[in-house]
Amino acid sequence: MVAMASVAPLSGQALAELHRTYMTAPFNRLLGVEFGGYHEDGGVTLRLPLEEAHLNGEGVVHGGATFTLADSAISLGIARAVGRRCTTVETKINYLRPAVKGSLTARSHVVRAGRRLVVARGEVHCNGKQVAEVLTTFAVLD
Amino acid sequence: MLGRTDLFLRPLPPARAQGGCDATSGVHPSSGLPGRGRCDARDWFLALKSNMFHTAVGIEFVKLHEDGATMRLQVRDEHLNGAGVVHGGVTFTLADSALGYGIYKVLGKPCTTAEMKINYLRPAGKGMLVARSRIVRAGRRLVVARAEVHSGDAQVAEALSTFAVLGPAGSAPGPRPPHR
Repeated sequence: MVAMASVAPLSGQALAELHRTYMTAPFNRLLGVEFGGYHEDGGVTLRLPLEEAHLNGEGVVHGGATFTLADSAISLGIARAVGRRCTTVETKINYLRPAVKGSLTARSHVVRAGRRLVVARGEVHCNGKQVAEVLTTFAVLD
Repeated sequence: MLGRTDLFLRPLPPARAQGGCDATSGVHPSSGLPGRGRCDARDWFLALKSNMFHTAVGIEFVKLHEDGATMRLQVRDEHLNGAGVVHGGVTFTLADSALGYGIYKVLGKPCTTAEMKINYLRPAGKGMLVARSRIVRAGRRLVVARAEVHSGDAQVAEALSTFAVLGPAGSAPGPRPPHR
């Protein structure tokens, strides 16, 4: 939810520290979030191998798990691209179809990085089909 | 996200041991859930193969209201993000659970989250997070509902959601709450 960074797109040691912060964040570890890759456009891919514990009583992935993966991919992408401390102001998610098994993949994109606000979006796929679309606003803290 | 059965009122199934973790011993001090005696959070999460994500995260049912539901979550270390405050996904999941369960119980119909918007008002730290949902309008196909999440006296998030009613469209409506 809170993104740490410096001024230009992060690389080297600063990116390594940011990466470790996100990939060892307690809630991401609890769910089992894995790193997928950094993209040239500032986006990030994260994966979530699905376990039974991610499902709800209907046997489909709980919306909170899908949201958490997308939120983490977007937040990490913004932190890397913007290079300053940011925090989530608001997020909107549309669920397009249920996800059941396999793994979830979230890919984030920075839409616009302003001085005070950053708008970003993310897509979540499961087995080749898009299961959610996310649009979010972050505030730049410093 | 979905509710067709009384998930939050159903006894917790025994967690299965995994990876050398004794998932069946002890009682977690804050939640009272069984099987966290000698496990770390991730082991316990994986051991609880029960199709109950909300339980695995630590969400508890508190109260059913005429127009919604209250759920809570005792914030523990595993709910934090890299900055040491509650992960936005935790707050969202708690709100979504209060919304989905409240809609299901009040209307008596299964439903699924179509979309949800959440505004984070301030960071949440350790302590009890409480989400209260309220149905704004219940139609035959769509239900609009909102939820507030509080940490102590402070509201930390506001959510607005649209749920889709599952099953044949135009089926007999269940009991409706007063429209707001």
